[in-house]
Amino acid sequence: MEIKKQKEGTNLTINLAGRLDTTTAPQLDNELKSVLDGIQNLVMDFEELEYISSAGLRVLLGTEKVMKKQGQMVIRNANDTIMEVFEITGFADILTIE
Amino acid sequence: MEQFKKKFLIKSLILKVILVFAITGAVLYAGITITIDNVLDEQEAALVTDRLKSDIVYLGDIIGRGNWSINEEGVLCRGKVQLGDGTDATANISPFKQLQSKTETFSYAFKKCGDEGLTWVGDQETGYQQGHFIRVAGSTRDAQGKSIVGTYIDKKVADVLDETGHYEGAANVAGRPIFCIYRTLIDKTGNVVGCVVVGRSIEELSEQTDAAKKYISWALIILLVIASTAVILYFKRTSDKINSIKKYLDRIGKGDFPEEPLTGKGTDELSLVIDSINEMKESLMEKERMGSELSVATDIQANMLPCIFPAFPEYDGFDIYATMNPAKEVGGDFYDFFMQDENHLAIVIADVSGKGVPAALFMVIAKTLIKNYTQIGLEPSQVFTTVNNILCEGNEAGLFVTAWMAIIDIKTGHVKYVNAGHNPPLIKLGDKFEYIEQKPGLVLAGLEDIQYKQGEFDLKDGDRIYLYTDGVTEATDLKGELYGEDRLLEYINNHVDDLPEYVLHGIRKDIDKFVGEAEQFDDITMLMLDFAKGQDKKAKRLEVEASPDSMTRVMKFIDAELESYGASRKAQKQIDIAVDELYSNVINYAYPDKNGTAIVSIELDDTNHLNTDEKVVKLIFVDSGVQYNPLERDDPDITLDVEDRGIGGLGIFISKTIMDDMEYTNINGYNVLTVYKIIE
Repeated sequence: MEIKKQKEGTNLTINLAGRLDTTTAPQLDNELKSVLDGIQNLVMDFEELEYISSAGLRVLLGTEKVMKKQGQMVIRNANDTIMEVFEITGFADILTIE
Repeated sequence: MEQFKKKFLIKSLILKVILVFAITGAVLYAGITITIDNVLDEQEAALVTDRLKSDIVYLGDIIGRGNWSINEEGVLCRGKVQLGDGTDATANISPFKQLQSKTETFSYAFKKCGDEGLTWVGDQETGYQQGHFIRVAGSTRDAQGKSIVGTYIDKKVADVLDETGHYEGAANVAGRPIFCIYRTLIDKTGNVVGCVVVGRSIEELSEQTDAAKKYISWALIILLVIASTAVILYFKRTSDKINSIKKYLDRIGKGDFPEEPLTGKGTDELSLVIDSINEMKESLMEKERMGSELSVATDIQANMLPCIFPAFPEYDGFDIYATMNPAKEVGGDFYDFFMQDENHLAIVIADVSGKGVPAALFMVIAKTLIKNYTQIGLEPSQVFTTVNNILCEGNEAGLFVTAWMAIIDIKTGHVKYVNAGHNPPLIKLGDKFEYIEQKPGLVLAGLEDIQYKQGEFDLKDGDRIYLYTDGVTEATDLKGELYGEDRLLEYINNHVDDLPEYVLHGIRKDIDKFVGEAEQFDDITMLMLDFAKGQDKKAKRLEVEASPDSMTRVMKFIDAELESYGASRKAQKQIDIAVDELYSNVINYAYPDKNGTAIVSIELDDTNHLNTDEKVVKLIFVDSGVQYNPLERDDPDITLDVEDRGIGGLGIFISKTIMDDMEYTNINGYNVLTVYKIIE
């Protein structure tokens, strides 16, 4: 999985490419830990993300909990498969998806 | 409790020594004291008697000269010469005084003063209440040199003196109990004028004796205390030594060999024991080292047997699984399978006589020869005939091998086989397994120039061959009953549809259940061939160690297969998600405290399980870890707020939702999870 970060002041955009699953989720978790300080607007761009499994959901849930306190997290460009997972798991209701 | 008892026992060694010493000491003390008391008492009596005798002999000399008188002043005189207080008399009596100072014997002289027995003597103010004799002599001084006056003679003594002129025995003199001898003094006319007494204080004597006894008692007690302390200290050292030996032995017992030898100075028996322990440790370490070399040998041997399954992923037409469990560290059994050429598969099973390293070495030779001569293109009977002749050469150890081998044409299913004294294999031609009825040839390495006969049969789709060694049928329970061919046949026929590895592990479990607590005497080796000519849709399987590292391999394997089935992009992604969820469950939970393997298989479902015309993929996850049915898990609550949401159970829930069907079964202790998904 590839992780691209773009930071402007308190705005951070993260582009994910590939698969967000058991193997790659710890990588994203580590990346996020070090960059969320002071961020008020986090955009997760899933345009190039193929799919997400529950290991990825765990990271998103943790990040949502952090961002809710200091700003907000928005998810963009999720494909059908990812949206299906969000719907099945009720994450569609708790995440901000554009 | 046991620990306490041990501790107490060791302590009690010292307690016992102390107890023995206390008793021996008390007996010794009492014995020695009583003996010394008696000796002292006898000594004392003898001393008194001896001294009194010599004193009296001396006094007798004085007295014997007679002519005693006592003058007006009450002074005792010999003739006219004064004794006692007078200077001359003092001089006269001085030899006696010398004697007195030596013997501590004292003497007195008494004046007879009439029948009334009362008189005043000199300037003494003390009157005599009783008795007939008055002390007058000047030798009557006490230990401080003070003159003792005012002494009277007991009435009974005076009476005896009056009557016999002589008294010997105990009497009160100067108010003290004295052992004494009295003699009367006679004047020249033969009248009694007085008496003299020599005596010795009984009190003083017994005081001295008591002091001596006390002194000896203390000396004895101190001696005993010193002796017992010395012995206890010595014993403590010994028991410390014993304790350190015990600790050392405990370590050795646990297999933790100390580098330093056990030390102990001296040449006593304990030091000899220490020497023996050090020698024992050395030889145990040697044995241990040999044991670890043996276990390396076991590994080498195990690695010689093909053990990667699926064995021939490039061939679709058959499936092989085999296992070997050696009874000792190194076994004599082996199995083998390899391609003779691209159309011919060889399978071999063999059992070398004997156990341990010699059998293992022989096994290596036999296995290599069979494979080499097969791969040059010989027929099975030719292979055995040739290998037999080579093994017979230089077989000094007299080992032999029973072996069964077949070469299978994987295109036609034609089998040619040969048997050198081995157990009849089971073949399933059609529905049921049966033992191959064929008279076996002689064992390999038994006799030179044997011509082995070859048998033949044909395999069709779904037919199977099961090879085993006698470790299977001769597994024995505690009552001595054999597992036997009938039990084996029954088990295998009840599991004709299971995958070969399930069947082999299942047989092993069935044997274990049968033998119970009994020890495994022989290697247990099995091989199963599942023939499926022309089934090109056969499942592809991957066996991996269930660790996080294997996830990528599993995913690539699945993706490649899905690609080849022409699965839709969406279905592929969904299956990937399910594999990620389900296989990570195996990785994380199947083997909590050990390593284990998992099998992932994928195939196009030809059973129309989903009752559809569309293409369906069947995925199977197998592990032998903790028994767990993930489908029984409650679905998570997906309506909770962000703050209350957890992640548990989501993976299974996602999989259940995006897959078309999932089934869980437990086969012979294996968790088998089957997943179905329409892929177009």
